[in-house]
Amino acid sequence: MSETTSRPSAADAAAASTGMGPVSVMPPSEKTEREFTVKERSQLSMVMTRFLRHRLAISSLAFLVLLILVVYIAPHVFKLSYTEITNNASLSPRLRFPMGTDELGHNYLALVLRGAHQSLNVSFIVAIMSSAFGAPYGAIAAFYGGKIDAIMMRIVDVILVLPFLVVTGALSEHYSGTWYTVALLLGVTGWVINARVTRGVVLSVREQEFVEAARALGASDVRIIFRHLLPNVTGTLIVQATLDIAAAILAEAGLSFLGLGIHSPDTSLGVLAQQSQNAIQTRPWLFYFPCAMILVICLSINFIGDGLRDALDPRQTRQRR
Amino acid sequence: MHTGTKRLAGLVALAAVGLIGVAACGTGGGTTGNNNKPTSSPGYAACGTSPDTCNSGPRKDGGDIVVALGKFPSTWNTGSSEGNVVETVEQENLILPGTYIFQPSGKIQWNADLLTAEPQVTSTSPQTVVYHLNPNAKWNNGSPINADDFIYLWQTFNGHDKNIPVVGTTGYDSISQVTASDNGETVTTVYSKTYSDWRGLFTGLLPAWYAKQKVGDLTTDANLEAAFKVWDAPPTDYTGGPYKLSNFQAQQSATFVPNPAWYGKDKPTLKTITFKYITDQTQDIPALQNQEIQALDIQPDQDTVQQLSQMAGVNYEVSAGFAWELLMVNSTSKFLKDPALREAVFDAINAQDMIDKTVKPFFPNAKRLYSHNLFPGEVGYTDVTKTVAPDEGTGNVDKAKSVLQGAGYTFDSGGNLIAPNGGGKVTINFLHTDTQVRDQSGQLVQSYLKAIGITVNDKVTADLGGTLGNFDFDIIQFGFAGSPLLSGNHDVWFTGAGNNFTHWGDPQSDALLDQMTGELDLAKQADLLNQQDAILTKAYVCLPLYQKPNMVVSTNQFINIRDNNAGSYFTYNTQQWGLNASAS
Amino acid sequence: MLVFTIRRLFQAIPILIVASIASFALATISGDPVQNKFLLRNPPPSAQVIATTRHNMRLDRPWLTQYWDWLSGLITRGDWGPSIDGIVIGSAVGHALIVTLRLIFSAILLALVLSLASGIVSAYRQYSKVDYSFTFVGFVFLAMPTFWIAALLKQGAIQFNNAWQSSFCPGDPTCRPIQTVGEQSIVPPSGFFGVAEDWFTHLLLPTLSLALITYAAWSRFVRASLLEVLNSDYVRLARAKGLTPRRVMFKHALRTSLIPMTTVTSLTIAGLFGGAIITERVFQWRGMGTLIINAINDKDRYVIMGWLVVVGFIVIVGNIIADILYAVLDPRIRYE
Repeated sequence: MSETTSRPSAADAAAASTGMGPVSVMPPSEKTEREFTVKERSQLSMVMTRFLRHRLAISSLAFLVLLILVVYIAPHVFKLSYTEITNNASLSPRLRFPMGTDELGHNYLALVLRGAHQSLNVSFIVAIMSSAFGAPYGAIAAFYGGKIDAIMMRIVDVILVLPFLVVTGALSEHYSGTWYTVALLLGVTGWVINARVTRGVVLSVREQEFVEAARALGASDVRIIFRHLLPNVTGTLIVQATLDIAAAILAEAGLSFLGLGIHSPDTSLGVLAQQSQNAIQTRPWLFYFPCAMILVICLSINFIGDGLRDALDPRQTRQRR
Repeated sequence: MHTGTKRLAGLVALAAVGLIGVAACGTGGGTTGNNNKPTSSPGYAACGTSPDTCNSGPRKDGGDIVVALGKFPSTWNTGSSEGNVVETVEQENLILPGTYIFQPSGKIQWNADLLTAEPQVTSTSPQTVVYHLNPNAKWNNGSPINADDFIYLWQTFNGHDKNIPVVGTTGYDSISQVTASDNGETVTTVYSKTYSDWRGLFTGLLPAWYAKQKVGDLTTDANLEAAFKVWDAPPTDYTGGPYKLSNFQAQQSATFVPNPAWYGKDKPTLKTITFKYITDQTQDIPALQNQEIQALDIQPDQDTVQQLSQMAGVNYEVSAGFAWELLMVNSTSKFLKDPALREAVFDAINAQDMIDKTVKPFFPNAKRLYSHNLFPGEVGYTDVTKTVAPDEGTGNVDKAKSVLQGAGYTFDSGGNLIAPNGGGKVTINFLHTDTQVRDQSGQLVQSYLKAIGITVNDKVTADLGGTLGNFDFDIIQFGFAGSPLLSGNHDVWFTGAGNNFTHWGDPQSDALLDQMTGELDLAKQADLLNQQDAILTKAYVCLPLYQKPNMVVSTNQFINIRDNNAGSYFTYNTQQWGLNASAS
Repeated sequence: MLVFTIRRLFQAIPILIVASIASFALATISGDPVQNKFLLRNPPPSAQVIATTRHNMRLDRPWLTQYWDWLSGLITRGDWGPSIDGIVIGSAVGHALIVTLRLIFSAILLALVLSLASGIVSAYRQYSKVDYSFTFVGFVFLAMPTFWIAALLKQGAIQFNNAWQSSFCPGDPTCRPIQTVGEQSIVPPSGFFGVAEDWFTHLLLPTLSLALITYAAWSRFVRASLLEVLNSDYVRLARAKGLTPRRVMFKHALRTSLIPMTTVTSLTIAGLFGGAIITERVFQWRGMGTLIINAINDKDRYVIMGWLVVVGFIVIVGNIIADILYAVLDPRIRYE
């Protein structure tokens, strides 16, 4: 076990670099970056500044916030009912029904918004669960090292080996497929990635001088982990959380496709897409609107994550050749 | 690097082609379910009136047909508890002969290829049935299909050896002896107790010679047990039907070629019949569009039917099958143990509206079913529930309310129904499996019962068996498979019987059911069932909705393919399938 | 290195055992296979049949005994246990594994080529239009549900077939250049080229579908890791020495940047052995994904266990290979 105690195993290193590996996609602002400033800037403000320069990420963020507002608020404001059965069955999109109607005459816009609502709920819960449990877990393992690390990481290994679908299949049988059970399932199995990523970063941080200093000053382990180590992982964690959100939305859609995810009468974007697979050629709006919703949500979240990564780790944006 | 770029561009373009094609369909698709309701295409136009002969016509030689099936066999032993799967039986129809063939109309027709005359009940006490076999009927190795095969089947399925894991012993366990005479060409079966569904026995004979060849003589239990395992393997070595299995690719496909030793009147003309296993129904239509399959037997839905109606050269038929959709009430549940509430609930539910909204869009001939035991067209069918409970399923809210008020129910200020004697607000759990039609039904039932102040919790179960068996429901929607053979109804309504999911029972009904199973005359059986149905209907524990639609699809190159939901399935007449002589 | 490998393999044993106990527990919780199979049979099977089947499925034994019997049977006799569907588990898993291997091999190859090519171009011409396009395409595939990609590919293939059939195989109206379901033709053509062509027509769509989603993740990774190297001091030095950009890229930067890539690929491949479940379903391939989905639906617990043993083993081996490759390629890492 010695190699895992002293340095991240290769897998962890890989996971860490997938998570935090500085990927930059979009150009920085054309302005020359001032390398030397008189006023000292906090790390946060630097990150903010860099993120704000990432135009695609900013517009994605604006879009996503708008979308969330629409999804969570619009149905109440515009009194869109997803249960109202009308005689306008299977209408293609038009002014009155911007996303058409289904076979019972439901306003499909209301259904898609509700689906997006449930999908976002799922993904937020998953991201929160994964970070809140996975990060401290990984940090503790890395901080203590030795046997504790070995045991904790073997538990992670077991969960990685355990077939996720078997877990889902077993539990969905007993807890009917409502959105929170699916969120819980994805969270319960998803945190291990966050744990590995966090562990990878903490392993490299814990050897640095400031940790030594804190220890020398008599800081307790808990204090070191939560006040010194985890804050250093925040950037990585935020990026990982955005990835979690996108992954959870897609995972939920995949599970629903296989009939193991959320079940009617509860709904989600995945459920709507799955239910209308047969309608691709006959009533395409029923399939494409939920799919497009999944696409734009994941796309904007990924762009935001990308911008954040650039902002948190600007090494690669300075290209000198 | 440039090639990489180009290749990627190519891929994206390919994806885009799909998208555009679909979008084009979409914009042109002003004709949707409501205004465009195709019933069936020309080839099947006559199936409504003459289900046994529709889509028939002259054949020409040759042709290869690929038929999609929804499940692949993991074992070919359809008599075993593992292998008893409809799709496997559909394939074995091609190779295993039987005494009776259920016609699409539900008529139980004796097999004139295998037998020389209709089997007769020669005595009723004890029940004795005599079969006269056609001496020309032979297995592919030349051995005659004779009493040996009857005796082997009976010995295996009569339950005397508990170590043979057969799927069921019903019927065979009532036979006390099977004897051969006339050089094995006459078979006499004597029953120890009357068994009215005797026509359902010996409908899939297995070759005793093949079992003997594999395990030795079939006189000991040990050998019978070993012989039973013989049928697990793909049946490439034996056939007594019009076709023979020539190529089996596990989980992918099974190809059958004509059996040169076939003794029947109609000779197969196709070169091959291939069953291709497509386990995800959504993939059937693209495969049909891509001409990878030419026929299929699937559960219809609105979009599938509409796509088929837009395809040139494809015939399809949506027909009412021998299965029915129903709402069942758990008569011991918290609120619904009160018959008055059950009656009110049934009155408030609008069955016709449910049919119009859920199945009519793809099944224009959908009609309400008014019997719990028989299907229209069967001997003795009458609209029992319509006569006994005329308001049931009509959405008659006023009637429902008056029934409720008569039973002491009240409404609170919010319009919620309050049960008498401090029973509280009435809420009902409505369960169903997650299918499009049933999901829609759940929402509709919610809206119907809202009108009489009942809150309905619409719930989905993934485990229908468990939900029914544990009575985890107040009302549940599901389907029952019926059969032209009537004894099966006994177990559905008899007090405490295995298939009685209502928790309801009635001594008078039980007596009629017992009398029915001991009756050998089909018409008298039906009459007893109708009497029982009247008692059952008044209990308001089950609301029959409609006969479940079924669909068979074939391209117009092929002829004589038609649906059969009565128990023999659509492959009951593969010897008549063929290339359509009048098609180009 | 050998010691390390052996030690890791031994460490894998307890992990597999714990995972198998957990899976067995989950499979048990998921329901009773016999009840699941028989409850809705009409007529219902006799109590005797149910009892026999329960006995055959070993359900009449205490839970821990069931697990122990399975484990000891597998280790001592190579007995994978009974299946409610009559599946011979050992050979079924073996067959499914081969199918999955066939499916993922070409997809991984294609994804690797595509992601390397586009990753290199993107890193080399950072912030160029090409970079943006590749990045955008990658992000779109990353955000698209697999079943959507698959559905689009199918529609595209049908239109392609309708349009190009006559030029691909003139005079044969039944020939379809691209197949949408299945692993191979019903009656496979003879001869090497016939078989190869048949495989190709069936492989094309699932390969594309699987490759595109894998490509999306990998290309971003290649680009990121290449950029990191391109910005490192030694590459700067190489440039300063006056080496051509091409030489810098291929001789110096690429090789180093591929080190983390090997880890990611070996882990992804190991994961894919569990089955590309959605792809398999849409294109009707009978690989590991179909096996596990059917087993879960039928609560066929020993099939689940058989799948777990094989996939768990592959995942663990994949992890070890990733670690070893890492050490082999990166001289800074040594396993003592």
